[in-house]
Formats: sequence, C-alpha cells, structure tokens
Amino acid sequence: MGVIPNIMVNALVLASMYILASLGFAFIFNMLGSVNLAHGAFYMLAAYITYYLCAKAGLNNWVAMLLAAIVLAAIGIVMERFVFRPFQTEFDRVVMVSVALMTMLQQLAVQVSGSQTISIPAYGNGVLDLGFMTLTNEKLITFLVGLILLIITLYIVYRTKLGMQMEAISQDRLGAALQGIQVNKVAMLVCGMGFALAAVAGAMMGAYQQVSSNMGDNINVRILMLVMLAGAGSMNGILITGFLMALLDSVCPIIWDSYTASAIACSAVVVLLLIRPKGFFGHEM
Amino acid sequence: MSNILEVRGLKVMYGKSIAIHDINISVPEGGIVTLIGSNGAGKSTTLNACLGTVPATEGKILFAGEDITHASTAERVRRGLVLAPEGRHLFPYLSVQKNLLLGATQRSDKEGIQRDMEFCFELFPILKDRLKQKAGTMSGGQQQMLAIARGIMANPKLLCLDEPSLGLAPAVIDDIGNKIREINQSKGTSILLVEQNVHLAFGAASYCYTLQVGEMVAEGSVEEIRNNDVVKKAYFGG
Ligand SMILES: Nc1ncnc2c1ncn2[C@@H]1O[C@H](COP(=O)(O)OP(=O)(O)OP(=O)(O)O)[C@@H](O)[C@H]1O
Ligand SMILES: [Mg+2]
Repeated sequence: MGVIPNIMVNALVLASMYILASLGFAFIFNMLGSVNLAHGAFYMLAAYITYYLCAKAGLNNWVAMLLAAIVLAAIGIVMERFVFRPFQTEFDRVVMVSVALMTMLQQLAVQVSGSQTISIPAYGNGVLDLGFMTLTNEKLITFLVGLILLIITLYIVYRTKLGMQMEAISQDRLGAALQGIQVNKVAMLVCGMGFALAAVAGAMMGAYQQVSSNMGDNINVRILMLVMLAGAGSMNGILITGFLMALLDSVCPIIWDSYTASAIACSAVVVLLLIRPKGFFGHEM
Repeated sequence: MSNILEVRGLKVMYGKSIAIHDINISVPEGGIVTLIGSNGAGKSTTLNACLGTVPATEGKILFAGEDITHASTAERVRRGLVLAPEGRHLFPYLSVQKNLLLGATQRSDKEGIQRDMEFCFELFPILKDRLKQKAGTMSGGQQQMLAIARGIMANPKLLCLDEPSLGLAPAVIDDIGNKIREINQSKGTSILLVEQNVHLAFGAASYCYTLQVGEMVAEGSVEEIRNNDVVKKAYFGG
C-alpha cells in the first residue's frame, strides 16, 4: 500500500534537486563549452557553508542557505573570469583546473569534518496527511523550493532577453557578439546564477540527506549523466532526464543495497547513451 | 559631406604576421563604398577590426566623428556600426523571427523595431513566409538575406557586408545587389561592401578601395577603378 505514490514523491523531490544542481553545469557547458567537473564540489561546498553557518554561527538554516548561495554566486563569477573565459577554447585546461579544484575542496571537506555524519537542520518538520498517503513537510518544502527556482529559471531562459541572448551565445558566439550582446557579461551572470542554484540544491540536500565529503561526487555523476542524456543545448531534455535519473535512484535502492543500486542506475544510463550517443533531446533541425 | 566611418593608418597583426597595414578608408554619410581584393587580401580583417572583434595594432577608427578604436563591439553596435559577417554566423537552431529580434537586441524602441521588421519583410518577402523556420534549414541564399536583414534590425548608420555573394547563384547575386541599393536609398543607411565579385561591387557602389595582400593598392570612383590597370589585371585578365 502506498509504494508507488511514495516512489513518485521521492523521485520528484530528488529530481527537483538534481535538475537544480545541473542547470549551472548545463548552461556553462552549452554556452561556454566548458566542462566544469568541479560543479559537484561547489554544491558540496555550499552544503558545508550552510552547515557551519547553522551549527557554529547559530544562523537560521534559510538565512544560511541564502548566504551560501551568495558566496557561491561570487565564486561562479570568479570562475568565469579566471577559468572559463581565458581557457575558452582549451577543453583540457578547464578539465585540469576543475579536477584540481574538486580534489582540493574534497580534501578540505575531509579535513574540517572528518568522517562524522553531519546534516543541516531540516527545513520543515511534521507530516502532511493526504488521505491516501502521508508526506513529510520536508519533502514537500524541498520539492517546492526546487520547483519554484526551476520555474524562475525556465522563465528567464524562454521569456526574457537574457535567455534569448544565452541561446544566441551558445549557438554562435561570434554572431552573438556582432549583434551587440555583451558575451562576457552574460556569461558572468549565468555563471553566478548557475552556481547559486547548485548552492541551493547542496544546502537542501545537506538537510534532506546529509553533508559529506563525497556528496559532490554523487551529484557530479548524476549531473554529467543527465546533461549528456538530455543532449547538447536541451533544457526541456534536462527536466525529463533529471526525473528519469531520480526515478532510478528512488526505485533501485528498494530492490538492491545502495551501492548496487547506484551502480545499476548508472549502468542504465550508460546503456541509454549507447543507444543514443548524442542524447535524446539535443538540437535537431 | 561628413564621413560616417574613417579608418586611419590601420594595422592588424595576427601573432607576428602582419595581415593589413596602413589602411585608410572613408565612407561618406549615406554612401555605398566597396572594398575589393582577392583571397587573403585582408578584407575581412579590416571589417573585423572596425567592429573590434580583432584588435587594431596601430591606427584609428572614427565613427560618426568619434574615436571608437578602443570601444567594445557592443558599444560600436549600439552606436550604429553593424556587420553582417562572412559566413553569416546566424543562430541555426533559432527561428527566422528570433534571429531578426536578436539583431535588435540592444534596442528598446518597440515601434522602431516593428517598423524595421516590416521593412525587412518588404525587402525579402521570403523571410515573412518562413518566420517560424529554423535559420539553419534555410537555403544559402535565404540565409544570406536573413543575415542582411538581421543587420538591418540593429538600425545601423553604417551596415558592413562581408562577401554577401559567397556561394550564391548569379541570379541571386544580382538580386542582392539591388537590395543593397534599396536599403541605402529607403533608409539612408551607409554601406561598406566587401566583395570578391566585382560585378556586384561595381554595380552597387560608387567608390571603391582595392586591397592586395594587406595593402591598399588603388582607390577611386568605380569608373576610375574599372579602368585601373592593376585592377584590370587582377580581375579582368588584363
Ligand atoms: N584569426 C586569424 N589568425 C591568423 N591569421 C589570420 C586570421 N584571420 C585571417 N588571417 C590571415 O590574415 C590574412 C587576411 O585574411 P582575411 O580573412 O582578412 O582575408 P580576406 O580578404 O577576407 O579573404 P577572403 O576573400 O578569402 O575572405 C590572411 O593571410 C589570413 O590567413
Ligand atoms: Mg574574408
């Protein structure tokens, strides 16, 4: 009783967080052609910042999350200026720098928190009785935060001038510059926005699950897979593959232990990629 | 008459090699000027330096009397210096309509944008029929029309066109020539036309500059250039 609805709820909550974490990565990948392998590490960093602001500075968890998002937005802007912009055409350099950053941040996380299990105070308590099932407020709130930010992002991408300029830059950078689009300024804004979204996801997941030095790796694998699975340049695709990935992550642990489940979910994605190497929703004429 | 564009002693280097040097060009307000030359002469380099997409090593670029040598590309476009580049650089996965709107991305005068859109449709009716079609799926000629129209959407004072004839059939090229004159006459837009197709260039322009491996070798009215020995040798086989 209630297994299917529960799976769906869990999948929706996870999906909203996966997608939120992936948006920045996808923007940077599509627009600037940079593969930011440190994206997951920054998501983790945001979780740690939020945790310490709550635990050590005694801040309210929402305030802490907001501050973490601001810090990460600033880091995103710095990354654009000093990594993505100068190494624009050099794929290998961006990979090198981002792997170095990822390792550094992870080591730092291990240093400060050791191997203890920590988590951010829950953003919601209590349960909601829907009659046919019960739902924790935490799940509801996590999902709603994801949903609202996602709607705002989609609005920006599809309905504003900034969104159209982002699209133009990702399709033809020189062409975009020649229309008078301030390519660097747009890139800076988008990096700030993308990092802040990942920060919110990290801060929410640090409460919904836990804060750990390998949470960045876990999300990184998901981000890479769902963005590749969606295909280059696809926003709508990310929504679908994000849900698919979350569904796999919600179903597999019911059947297998968590390690096997993760391996099986990842294998399923690899198989899908073998079927459609360019993803499922990428640019088509 | 004052000049909308003045290029003075322009030099551009790519690394250690000189692409163009000591280039002087004047485009009078409301005029059509052409810059011709064979492959690798430095025509595109000259236009790109005017737009600031490649840096000028030496020299000055004056637009509407003001020094824009160090202005950003966006600033130049905002002032009315616009380029429809070689190879078009359209946004292939966006519709014709969005491509046109992106041409007007720096503008906020809704009515003006609408008026220019109508003008583009009068000029190239095919664009109106294909408003929702993705730019990348249009034919070469249609894409060139879209590239020119996108330039018009920025409401330029000077529209630079880099080899609009590239890859087009002779009949279409003649048509492009007519359209260029029409833009110039109806909107008073000054035109700087870079071409290898001298037939198109001479048909549309009144003044001509000739580049050869990075140097300006001849300039004058189209009539003078038509009879210039250097140019004759290069383009009409003697
Ligand atoms: N980005 C670049 N890096 C290095 N050299 C370049 C670059 N762009 C152009 N050049 C060189 O500068 C010279 C002038 O090139 P440019 O593209 O301006 O010629 P063009 O007159 O436009 O030729 P075409 O008619 O073939 O378009 C050429 O020798 C070219 O190889
Ligand atoms: Mg050229």
